[in-house]
Amino acid sequence: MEKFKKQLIFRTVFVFIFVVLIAAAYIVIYSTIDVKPVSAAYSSGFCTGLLAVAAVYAARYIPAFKNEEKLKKLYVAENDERERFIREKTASGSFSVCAFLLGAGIIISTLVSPATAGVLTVVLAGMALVKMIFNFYYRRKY
Amino acid sequence: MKTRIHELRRARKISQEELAAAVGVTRQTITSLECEKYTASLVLAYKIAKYFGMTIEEVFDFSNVDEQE
Repeated sequence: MEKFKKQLIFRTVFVFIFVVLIAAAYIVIYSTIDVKPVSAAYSSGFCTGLLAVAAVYAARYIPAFKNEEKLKKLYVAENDERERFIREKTASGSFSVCAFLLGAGIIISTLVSPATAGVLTVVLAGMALVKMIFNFYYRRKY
Repeated sequence: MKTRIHELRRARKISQEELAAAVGVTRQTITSLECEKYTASLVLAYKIAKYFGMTIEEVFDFSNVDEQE
Protein backbone atom coordinates (compact mmCIF):
# COMPACT_ATOMS: atom_id res chain seq x y z
CA MET A 1 0.00 0.00 0.00
CA GLU A 2 2.96 2.32 0.65
CA LYS A 3 4.05 1.88 -2.96
CA PHE A 4 0.57 2.87 -4.15
CA LYS A 5 0.62 5.88 -1.83
CA LYS A 6 3.93 6.97 -3.35
CA GLN A 7 2.41 6.53 -6.82
CA LEU A 8 -0.49 8.78 -5.84
CA ILE A 9 1.87 11.41 -4.48
CA PHE A 10 3.91 11.25 -7.71
CA ARG A 11 0.77 11.59 -9.84
CA THR A 12 -0.54 14.52 -7.78
CA VAL A 13 2.81 16.33 -7.96
CA PHE A 14 3.07 15.60 -11.70
CA VAL A 15 -0.42 17.02 -12.34
CA PHE A 16 0.36 20.05 -10.17
CA ILE A 17 3.61 20.75 -12.09
CA PHE A 18 1.76 20.24 -15.38
CA VAL A 19 -0.93 22.75 -14.39
CA VAL A 20 1.67 25.29 -13.21
CA LEU A 21 3.61 24.94 -16.48
CA ILE A 22 0.44 25.35 -18.57
CA ALA A 23 -0.58 28.40 -16.54
CA ALA A 24 2.94 29.91 -16.85
CA ALA A 25 3.00 29.31 -20.61
CA TYR A 26 -0.45 30.86 -20.86
CA ILE A 27 0.63 34.00 -18.97
CA VAL A 28 3.90 34.36 -20.93
CA ILE A 29 2.17 33.97 -24.30
CA TYR A 30 -0.58 36.45 -23.45
CA SER A 31 1.83 39.06 -22.09
CA THR A 32 4.20 38.92 -25.08
CA ILE A 33 2.06 38.17 -28.14
CA ASP A 34 -1.04 39.92 -29.41
CA VAL A 35 -3.52 37.05 -29.42
CA LYS A 36 -6.78 37.12 -31.41
CA PRO A 37 -9.97 37.11 -29.24
CA VAL A 38 -11.15 33.82 -30.79
CA SER A 39 -7.83 32.13 -30.03
CA ALA A 40 -7.87 33.60 -26.51
CA ALA A 41 -11.35 32.24 -25.86
CA TYR A 42 -10.43 28.83 -27.23
CA SER A 43 -7.21 28.50 -25.23
CA SER A 44 -8.91 29.85 -22.07
CA GLY A 45 -11.55 27.17 -22.38
CA PHE A 46 -8.91 24.50 -22.88
CA CYS A 47 -6.90 25.76 -19.91
CA THR A 48 -10.02 25.75 -17.72
CA GLY A 49 -10.71 22.17 -18.81
CA LEU A 50 -7.21 21.09 -17.82
CA LEU A 51 -7.59 22.77 -14.43
CA ALA A 52 -10.93 21.00 -13.95
CA VAL A 53 -9.29 17.64 -14.68
CA ALA A 54 -6.53 18.44 -12.17
CA ALA A 55 -9.17 19.40 -9.59
CA VAL A 56 -11.00 16.10 -10.12
CA TYR A 57 -7.73 14.20 -9.61
CA ALA A 58 -6.99 16.17 -6.44
CA ALA A 59 -10.51 15.56 -5.13
CA ARG A 60 -10.06 11.80 -5.66
CA TYR A 61 -6.55 11.47 -4.30
CA ILE A 62 -6.22 13.93 -1.41
CA PRO A 63 -8.80 12.19 0.89
CA ALA A 64 -6.95 8.90 0.31
CA PHE A 65 -3.74 10.39 1.73
CA LYS A 66 -5.47 11.08 5.05
CA ASN A 67 -7.58 7.94 5.42
CA GLU A 68 -6.17 4.40 5.14
CA GLU A 69 -9.61 2.90 4.41
CA LYS A 70 -10.19 5.31 1.51
CA LEU A 71 -6.68 4.57 0.24
CA LYS A 72 -7.46 0.84 0.20
CA LYS A 73 -10.75 1.46 -1.62
CA LEU A 74 -9.00 3.61 -4.20
CA TYR A 75 -6.32 0.93 -4.60
CA VAL A 76 -8.92 -1.76 -5.25
CA ALA A 77 -10.84 0.54 -7.63
CA GLU A 78 -7.71 1.35 -9.62
CA ASN A 79 -6.19 -2.13 -9.64
CA ASP A 80 -9.30 -4.26 -10.01
CA GLU A 81 -8.53 -6.61 -12.90
CA ARG A 82 -11.96 -6.27 -14.52
CA GLU A 83 -11.66 -2.47 -14.45
CA ARG A 84 -8.21 -2.73 -16.04
CA PHE A 85 -9.54 -5.13 -18.65
CA ILE A 86 -12.37 -2.70 -19.46
CA ARG A 87 -9.89 0.20 -19.66
CA GLU A 88 -7.63 -1.75 -22.05
CA LYS A 89 -10.56 -2.84 -24.22
CA THR A 90 -11.92 0.72 -24.29
CA ALA A 91 -8.52 2.15 -25.24
CA SER A 92 -7.87 -0.31 -28.06
CA GLY A 93 -11.45 -0.16 -29.35
CA SER A 94 -11.67 3.62 -29.29
CA PHE A 95 -8.27 3.92 -31.02
CA SER A 96 -9.45 1.74 -33.90
CA VAL A 97 -12.70 3.69 -34.26
CA CYS A 98 -10.85 7.05 -34.13
CA ALA A 99 -8.34 5.85 -36.74
CA PHE A 100 -11.17 4.69 -39.00
CA LEU A 101 -13.06 7.98 -38.58
CA LEU A 102 -9.89 9.97 -39.26
CA GLY A 103 -9.31 7.90 -42.40
CA ALA A 104 -12.85 8.60 -43.56
CA GLY A 105 -12.37 12.28 -42.66
CA ILE A 106 -9.19 12.45 -44.74
CA ILE A 107 -10.91 10.99 -47.79
CA ILE A 108 -13.86 13.38 -47.53
CA SER A 109 -11.83 16.49 -46.62
CA THR A 110 -9.43 15.93 -49.54
CA LEU A 111 -12.34 16.86 -51.83
CA VAL A 112 -13.34 19.90 -49.78
CA SER A 113 -10.23 21.25 -48.05
CA PRO A 114 -6.78 19.83 -48.82
CA ALA A 115 -5.29 21.73 -45.85
CA THR A 116 -7.67 19.98 -43.43
CA ALA A 117 -6.85 16.66 -45.08
CA GLY A 118 -3.16 17.39 -44.49
CA VAL A 119 -3.74 18.13 -40.79
CA LEU A 120 -5.84 14.98 -40.36
CA THR A 121 -3.18 12.91 -42.12
CA VAL A 122 -0.52 14.23 -39.73
CA VAL A 123 -2.79 13.42 -36.76
CA LEU A 124 -3.40 9.89 -38.06
CA ALA A 125 0.32 9.37 -38.72
CA GLY A 126 1.12 10.67 -35.22
CA MET A 127 -1.39 8.31 -33.65
CA ALA A 128 0.01 5.38 -35.65
CA LEU A 129 3.54 6.30 -34.61
CA VAL A 130 2.60 6.48 -30.92
CA LYS A 131 0.84 3.13 -31.22
CA MET A 132 3.91 1.59 -32.86
CA ILE A 133 6.18 2.92 -30.12
CA PHE A 134 3.91 1.52 -27.38
CA ASN A 135 3.60 -1.78 -29.23
CA PHE A 136 7.37 -2.04 -29.52
CA TYR A 137 7.81 -1.14 -25.82
CA TYR A 138 5.30 -3.74 -24.59
CA ARG A 139 6.70 -6.45 -26.90
CA ARG A 140 10.09 -5.86 -25.35
CA LYS A 141 8.66 -5.72 -21.84
CA TYR A 142 6.57 -8.91 -21.98
CA MET B 1 -16.72 -19.55 -17.81
CA LYS B 2 -18.92 -21.41 -15.34
CA THR B 3 -17.96 -21.08 -11.71
CA ARG B 4 -19.18 -22.34 -8.36
CA ILE B 5 -18.55 -18.99 -6.65
CA HIS B 6 -22.22 -18.18 -6.12
CA GLU B 7 -22.96 -21.65 -4.78
CA LEU B 8 -19.94 -21.61 -2.44
CA ARG B 9 -20.75 -18.13 -1.23
CA ARG B 10 -24.32 -19.06 -0.40
CA ALA B 11 -23.26 -22.23 1.38
CA ARG B 12 -20.88 -20.26 3.58
CA LYS B 13 -23.13 -17.18 3.88
CA ILE B 14 -20.55 -14.84 2.49
CA SER B 15 -21.59 -11.65 0.71
CA GLN B 16 -20.13 -10.48 -2.57
CA GLU B 17 -18.60 -7.50 -0.75
CA GLU B 18 -16.84 -9.76 1.74
CA LEU B 19 -15.43 -12.00 -0.96
CA ALA B 20 -14.42 -8.99 -3.07
CA ALA B 21 -12.61 -7.38 -0.13
CA ALA B 22 -10.86 -10.65 0.70
CA VAL B 23 -9.47 -11.15 -2.80
CA GLY B 24 -8.85 -7.46 -3.56
CA VAL B 25 -11.36 -6.75 -6.32
CA THR B 26 -14.59 -4.78 -6.61
CA ARG B 27 -18.02 -6.28 -5.93
CA GLN B 28 -18.86 -5.80 -9.62
CA THR B 29 -16.05 -8.17 -10.58
CA ILE B 30 -17.51 -10.90 -8.38
CA THR B 31 -20.94 -10.26 -9.92
CA SER B 32 -19.47 -10.54 -13.43
CA LEU B 33 -17.72 -13.79 -12.52
CA GLU B 34 -20.91 -15.26 -11.11
CA CYS B 35 -22.88 -14.18 -14.18
CA GLU B 36 -20.19 -15.72 -16.44
CA LYS B 37 -19.62 -12.37 -18.15
CA TYR B 38 -15.98 -12.15 -17.17
CA THR B 39 -13.25 -14.78 -16.89
CA ALA B 40 -10.92 -14.41 -13.93
CA SER B 41 -7.18 -14.18 -14.37
CA LEU B 42 -5.06 -17.01 -13.05
CA VAL B 43 -4.05 -14.94 -10.02
CA LEU B 44 -7.65 -14.02 -9.15
CA ALA B 45 -8.80 -17.61 -9.70
CA TYR B 46 -6.07 -18.76 -7.33
CA LYS B 47 -7.04 -16.18 -4.69
CA ILE B 48 -10.72 -17.14 -4.87
CA ALA B 49 -9.96 -20.86 -4.73
CA LYS B 50 -7.61 -20.29 -1.80
CA TYR B 51 -10.26 -18.23 -0.01
CA PHE B 52 -12.67 -21.18 -0.22
CA GLY B 53 -9.91 -23.66 0.65
CA MET B 54 -10.26 -25.47 -2.67
CA THR B 55 -8.32 -25.96 -5.87
CA ILE B 56 -8.92 -23.78 -8.93
CA GLU B 57 -10.49 -26.70 -10.80
CA GLU B 58 -12.98 -27.21 -7.98
CA VAL B 59 -14.20 -23.61 -8.22
CA PHE B 60 -13.91 -22.94 -11.95
CA ASP B 61 -15.28 -25.20 -14.68
CA PHE B 62 -12.72 -25.61 -17.47
CA SER B 63 -14.76 -28.18 -19.40
CA ASN B 64 -15.81 -25.76 -22.16
CA VAL B 65 -12.61 -23.74 -22.45
CA ASP B 66 -12.06 -24.89 -26.06
CA GLU B 67 -15.51 -23.65 -27.05
CA GLN B 68 -14.71 -20.15 -25.78
CA GLU B 69 -11.78 -19.86 -28.21
